[in-house]
Amino acid sequence: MAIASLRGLSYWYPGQAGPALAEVDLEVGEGLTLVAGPSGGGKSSLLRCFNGLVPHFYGGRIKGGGEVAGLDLLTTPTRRLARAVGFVFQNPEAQLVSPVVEAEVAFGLENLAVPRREMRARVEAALAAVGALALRQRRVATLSGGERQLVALASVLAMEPRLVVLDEPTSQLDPEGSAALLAALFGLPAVVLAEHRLDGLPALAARRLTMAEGRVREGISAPPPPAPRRPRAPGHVAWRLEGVAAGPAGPLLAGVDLVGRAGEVVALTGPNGGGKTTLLRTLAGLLPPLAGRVERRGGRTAYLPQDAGALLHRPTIRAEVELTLGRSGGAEPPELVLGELGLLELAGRYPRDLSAGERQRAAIAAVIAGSPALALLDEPTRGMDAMAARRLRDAVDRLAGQGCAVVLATHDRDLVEAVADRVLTVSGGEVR
Amino acid sequence: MIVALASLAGVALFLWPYLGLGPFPAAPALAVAGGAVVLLAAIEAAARRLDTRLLALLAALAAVDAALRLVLVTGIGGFSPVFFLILCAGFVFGPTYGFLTGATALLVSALATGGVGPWLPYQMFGAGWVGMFAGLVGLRWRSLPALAVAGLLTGFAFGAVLDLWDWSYLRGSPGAGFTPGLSIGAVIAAFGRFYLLTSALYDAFRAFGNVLMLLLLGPPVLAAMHRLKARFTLVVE
Repeated sequence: MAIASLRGLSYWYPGQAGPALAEVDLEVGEGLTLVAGPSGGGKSSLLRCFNGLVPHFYGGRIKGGGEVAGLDLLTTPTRRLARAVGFVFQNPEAQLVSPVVEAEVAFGLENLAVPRREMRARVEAALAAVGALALRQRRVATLSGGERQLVALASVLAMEPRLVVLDEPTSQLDPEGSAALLAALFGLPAVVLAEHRLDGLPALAARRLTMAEGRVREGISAPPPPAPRRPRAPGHVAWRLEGVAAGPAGPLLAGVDLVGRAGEVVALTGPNGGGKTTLLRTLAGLLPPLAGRVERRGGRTAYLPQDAGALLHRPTIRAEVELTLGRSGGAEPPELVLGELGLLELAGRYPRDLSAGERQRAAIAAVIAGSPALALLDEPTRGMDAMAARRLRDAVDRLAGQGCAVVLATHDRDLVEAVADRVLTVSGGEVR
Repeated sequence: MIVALASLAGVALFLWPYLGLGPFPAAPALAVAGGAVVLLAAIEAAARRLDTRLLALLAALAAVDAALRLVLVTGIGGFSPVFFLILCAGFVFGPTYGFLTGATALLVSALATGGVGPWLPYQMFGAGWVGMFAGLVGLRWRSLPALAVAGLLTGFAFGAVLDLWDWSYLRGSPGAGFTPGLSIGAVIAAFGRFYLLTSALYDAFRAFGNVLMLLLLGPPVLAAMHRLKARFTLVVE
C-alpha cells in the first residue's frame, strides 16, 4: 500500500522560469526508497513535498497534487503533515533548537503534549535506535557535525512518524556513523532517502529512483569511473605545527607535530569528534593553540568551514567571488573559478536560493579564488554529486599545481584516493 | 478596511480632548490602542491574510526595532531608527501590515527601553499610521524615491499628530494654545504656531533621517522583504 503518492506534480520556486519538479507521478511504499541524481536535479524539492515545505514554506507555483498518509499535500497545514512525516535536513545545524541532546529529542514530543513518562521512554528509544544513547546528557554545541545528524534523526524518530524523509543525512558522517544511521533506517516502516554518496546503498534499497532536471525515473546508473591521478612535486615547507595542543574547550589534541609543503595535498580522516575540525581551525589561526607553535608561510589562507553556506552573504555568487578576488589582489577573472566548479550558469543567482550542493560549490569558489597560499577545506564534498566532486578534485589539482598547500578534512574515501598525497588519521587526541 | 476602523479608534483618542470631553485617562487609552491592535491582528488572522509566517515576521520586525531603539534610546532630535523598518514593511506588505508593524514595534520597544507612559497609546497609533501610509504609497508607486518621500512626509506628520496629544495640556497659552470655543480656523492657526515653534526643527531630524536610512539601507532590506513576500505567495494551478 502506498504511504505517499504524487500525481502530475509540477512545481516552480518563486521567480524561477524552469520547474524544479516536472510532472512527477510517484507512489512511495514501505521500505527504503533511495533517490539519487545530480545536484540541483530536484531531489530536495521532491523530498520537501512530502512534509509540505514545498509549496507551503517556499511559495511559488504548483500544479497537480498528492497525498501522504491520507493527508492532502496542498490543503493540509504543515503542522499536521509534520506529525506524519519526519524530516532530516541536509544541514543538521538548521534543525537543532535545544542546548542539550535529551531536550532536543524531547522537543517535538513537548509540542505534542505527550505525557512526561511516555516522553522519557520515547526519547530513550529514539536515541538507542540511532546508537546515540551515550550522547543523552551532552550539550549540542559540543557535538561534532556527524553526532548532530544522529541527534536530528533521533528527534524525528521520537515523533513516531509514518514516513521518514532524509536529505543526504550521511554527507558528513564517518563510516561507522553512516553504518549506524543506515542500520537505524532499516528498522523503520517507510523511508525516503536522498544521497549523493551511494557506496553500497543501492543494493540495500527496496526501490531506486533518479531525479534529474525535475523528472523522476526508476533505477540508478553507476557513477563514472575516476580519472587517473596527476603526479605532484611538493616544494618548500608551507606550514608547521610543533608540539601543538588544541581544542575549543580544553585540549582535544595534544603533542601534534606536523609539516606540510607547498603543492602538497594532505587529507585528514578519522571519526566524528576526533579533532579534524579543531586541527584545521588551529592551522587557520582561528583557534589559538593551548600549547606549542603554529607556523604559516606568508600569503592568504583560504578556510572553508563545515557549514560553508553560512559564509555567503552577497547578492550573487559572482559578487562573492569578486569580493575574495578584490581582497586578495588576484588578477584572475571570476569566470576561472566559477567555470572550474561548474557555476557559470548560476553566477547571477542569490546564494540562498540554491540547492545545498550548489551552495557548497559556491562557498568553495568564494574561498579558493585568488590563488591562496594555504587552503583548508572542511568536508568540501558535502552535498556534492559525483560530477561536482570531480570538479572539486580538478580545482584542488590546480591549486596544488600553483604551489598552494592544501589540507582537507573528509570522510569521502573517493576524494582521499583521488587527490591526497598524504593521509593522516585524527583520532583519540592523536594525529597519525 | 478593518485597519480603517482601527484607525477610527485612534482618531477618536486624539480628538477626545478637543471635543470638550476633557483629557482621556491614560490606562483606558492604552487599552484602546492595545485592543485595536489585537483585534486587527485577530481579524486578519481569521481571514487568513495574516498567517504564521507573516506573524513571525511581524514579531521579528518588532524585536529588531526594539533592539534599534535600545541602541539609540532618546534618538537624535526627533530621529529614531525604528521608523525605517516600519516604512519598509508597510511598503512591501501593505497598509494593514504596516499599521500592525508600527503599533507593535512601538509597544515592544517601549517595553524594552522602559518607555511606557501615557504617551505610548498615541505613539502606537502614530507609528501605525506611518506604516499604513507607506503601505498606501506602495499600492500606487513601487519605487524607492516614492518610499523616501513617504518617509519625509511621515517624519513630520508623526510629530504633528503626536503634538495633538500634548497640545491638549497647553490649553490657554496665549497665541499658541487651545481654548475651547475657538473657531476651527483659529484652532488650526494656533496649532500651526505651536508646531513651528516647538516641533518643526525637531521633526526635521526624523524626516530627513528617515530619507537617509531609506536611501542607504532601503535597497537590501526591501530586496530581502520582497524575497520573503515571494515565498509567502503560492499559486495553485
